[in-house]
Amino acid sequence: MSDLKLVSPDQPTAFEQRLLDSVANEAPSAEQRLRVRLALGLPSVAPAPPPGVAVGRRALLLKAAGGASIALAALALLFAGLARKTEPAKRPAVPLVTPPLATPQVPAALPPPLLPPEPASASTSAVAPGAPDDHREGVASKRASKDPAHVPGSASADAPSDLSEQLRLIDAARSAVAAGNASAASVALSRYRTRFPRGLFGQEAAVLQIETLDLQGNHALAAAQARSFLARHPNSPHVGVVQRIAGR
Amino acid sequence: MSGILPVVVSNPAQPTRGEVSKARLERMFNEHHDFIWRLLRRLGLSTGSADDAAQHVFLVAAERVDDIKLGSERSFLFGTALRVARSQNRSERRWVLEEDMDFRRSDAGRPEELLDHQRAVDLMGRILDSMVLDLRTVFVLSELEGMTMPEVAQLLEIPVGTAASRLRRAREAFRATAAELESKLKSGLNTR
Repeated sequence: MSDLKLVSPDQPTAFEQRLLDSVANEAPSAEQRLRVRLALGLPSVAPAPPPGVAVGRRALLLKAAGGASIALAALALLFAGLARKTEPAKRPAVPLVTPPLATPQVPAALPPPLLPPEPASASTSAVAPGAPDDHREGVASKRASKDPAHVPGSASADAPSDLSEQLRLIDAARSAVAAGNASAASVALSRYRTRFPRGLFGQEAAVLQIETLDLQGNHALAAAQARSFLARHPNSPHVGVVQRIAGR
Repeated sequence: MSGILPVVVSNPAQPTRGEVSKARLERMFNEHHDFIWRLLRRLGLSTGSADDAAQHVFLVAAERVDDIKLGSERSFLFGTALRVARSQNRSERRWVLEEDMDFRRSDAGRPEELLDHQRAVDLMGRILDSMVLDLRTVFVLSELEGMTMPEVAQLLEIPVGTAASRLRRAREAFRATAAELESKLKSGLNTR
């Protein structure tokens, strides 16, 4: 820090300090961290980042309790919800592994999808090839987490338990796609769309559906949906993987 | 040829290359995601755009994780974030401020007390927007992230003297604009 003396700063005025402090504590939301973790194929549940990393040195110096603390609290709440849903005494301790969407990596030994296929309802829960996908994509899903006036698909779709269920379904679909199990992916995606038509991970679900169609050999429809997705979301982080399918 | 074929036995306890890459990616995420997100915000992106852009940065990192030099993770993410921020639609501005902003809304006495948090954020955004990108980047890294000059210089791959010069000019710009805004606040207070 002594290197700052190179430029011999004067002490900021109270007004300047107030301006500087106003943006010192900004931090991404817990949902944002989860979205990126999902996209990268990292386990959904992770320890809270070290304080020095999460809020930056300046914010630490200020000892402020602004956005970062709120985000961490939300993360803790979310993880509490995940822990409740997981019920470790009754379920095998399989981590929620989410292979990356946009990275064409060879999947390592992945655990089986968390959702077993349901023979009785498999036919109804398969990905509907011609189904419009506008209702479930990212803009609406982002609104679900950020617009307080937004009415989600279920009565409490943003509650931690619902978020953990959304994560579980998306994780299951992603694991199934990575393992080449299109029917299990279809089941998970169908459940996701039914339960959370405007869920937080709508854009991820749309991309997974495109991948599932491609996996099923329905390349033409997958390419058509991919092009439609690209037209709606030209700046999506998933553009890479979708473009590859669109180009086939 | 001896007739003996080499036998490659993989040690199950030895992590695979994919596992190593994934662990590295997770470390990058844990250590740098929030920094990258804050950087994108302070370079003018809205919250939603910063969310998407940060995800984009890390997807790029995931695709190239094996090519990133050890110890250069932050530098790689930073450079990618700068490129992503530049490529964002410039019509989408984070800081939306009306020119005839009401400077008399608060009942507090001193200018710094006149600022509620959101207005302070907006004003800070206006000041950052007024800086050219080179100055703005150094200012953000030094003043808001608390990085030292050598750290800033290393990240930007510029000499320390250049970084210090940019910071000096950025501070001058910051103070000039802040003084102007403070003056407006005071004059608003006096006209009540």
